[in-house]
Amino acid sequence: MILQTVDLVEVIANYLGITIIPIMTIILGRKVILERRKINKFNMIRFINFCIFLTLSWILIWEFLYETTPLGGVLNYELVKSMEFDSPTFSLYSFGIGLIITLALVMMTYINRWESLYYVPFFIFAGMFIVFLLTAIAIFLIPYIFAGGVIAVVFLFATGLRLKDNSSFGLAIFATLIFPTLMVAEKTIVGQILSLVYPIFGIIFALGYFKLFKADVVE
Amino acid sequence: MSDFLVSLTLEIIFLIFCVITIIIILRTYFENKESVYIGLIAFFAAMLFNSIFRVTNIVIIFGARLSFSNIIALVIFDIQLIFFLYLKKLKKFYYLPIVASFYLGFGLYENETLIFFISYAVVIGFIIPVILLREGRKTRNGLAFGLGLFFLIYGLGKMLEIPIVPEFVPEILRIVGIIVSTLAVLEFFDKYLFHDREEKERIQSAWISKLTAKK
Repeated sequence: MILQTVDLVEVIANYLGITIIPIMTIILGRKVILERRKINKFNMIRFINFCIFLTLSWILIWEFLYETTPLGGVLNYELVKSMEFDSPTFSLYSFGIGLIITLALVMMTYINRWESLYYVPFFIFAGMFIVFLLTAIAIFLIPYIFAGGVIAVVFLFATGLRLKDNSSFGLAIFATLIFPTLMVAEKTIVGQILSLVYPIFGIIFALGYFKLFKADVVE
Repeated sequence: MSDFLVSLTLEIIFLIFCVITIIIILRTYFENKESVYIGLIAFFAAMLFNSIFRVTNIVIIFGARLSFSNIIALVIFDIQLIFFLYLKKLKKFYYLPIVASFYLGFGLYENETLIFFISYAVVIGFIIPVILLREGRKTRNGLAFGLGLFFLIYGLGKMLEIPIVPEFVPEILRIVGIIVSTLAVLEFFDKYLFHDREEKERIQSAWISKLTAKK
């Protein structure tokens, strides 16, 4: 009975994720373009936010194609969804998660204005990927995802509270909700509940209704 | 035996100049407190360690090809590149050399191939000194010019460590390089090469006219 419930929730969560996250990406993309036109300046924080959701859409689309559609039988597991802890490798899925962590770390440096660290997460991730292409070794990937994820979430919460910034605080909550579902708790009932909750929170966040703090920080 | 004594003597001369350079930079750092001097101290300290390893002939290898001398070489390349980035004020790229060196070191640990390490060495060893020389001349910065000259001569010495070239040629180039660096930190190039006579005369005449006006 519990297993059947988990499966049902998984299917609902998959459909919900695949529908809502790309819509959120479009909303955020539209906001970035409108703001660029309005103030004639590129808001880097909002753009990074958009990139994070674009990458998340990429992950969810591949996950959906592999798990829910008949394409799962045709697609190669190693290429699409491999995320093994014992023998880590770069797949379309793990690359996406690594990129999200990288973008979250970049956002953290941008919000705190640590100029000399702006590109460091990109250098680390690019180096990891080049090493993988040349030697087929990706031993740094899983530690990077876990350590980077924890650091990014902690700093985004701290920055959100310190600067009273809705953007970073909202992203921190979103990351806290989504991280367990992507990494460890996917097949548990808690993981499935979180899979249902994060798209709902995500759409509130993307539409700009998440306003925990009154005044928004202007870059 | 005599060859060994000659190379030992040359190495000791190199060591002495290295120590002198470090002492001068330390003194300048305590006067100015500029962070660039810390990088330069680390650079010459790495050179000093490299030289000690050469004299004592200690070879410790980790993994496939990662040796102590390779680690020190990576530190030397890093500091060259960081010095260049600092001079060009490319703040967003300050940590790129450190990340690149980490992966190069990992590559040496995992694989036998030296191709990426050598490519990095050639790029850093020739492009950075040429840019430093050009920038130093353009901005009349004796330290940048002198260090550019030192990196170039030292890099050339390293490249000439091949069987067809007599053994003492690279050694002499290394010593010429370290002497150039000592002169650079002693502000020799600022005082004598980029000495602006017109500017000095203009300042002097301004002082004279001030004194005359007071009288």
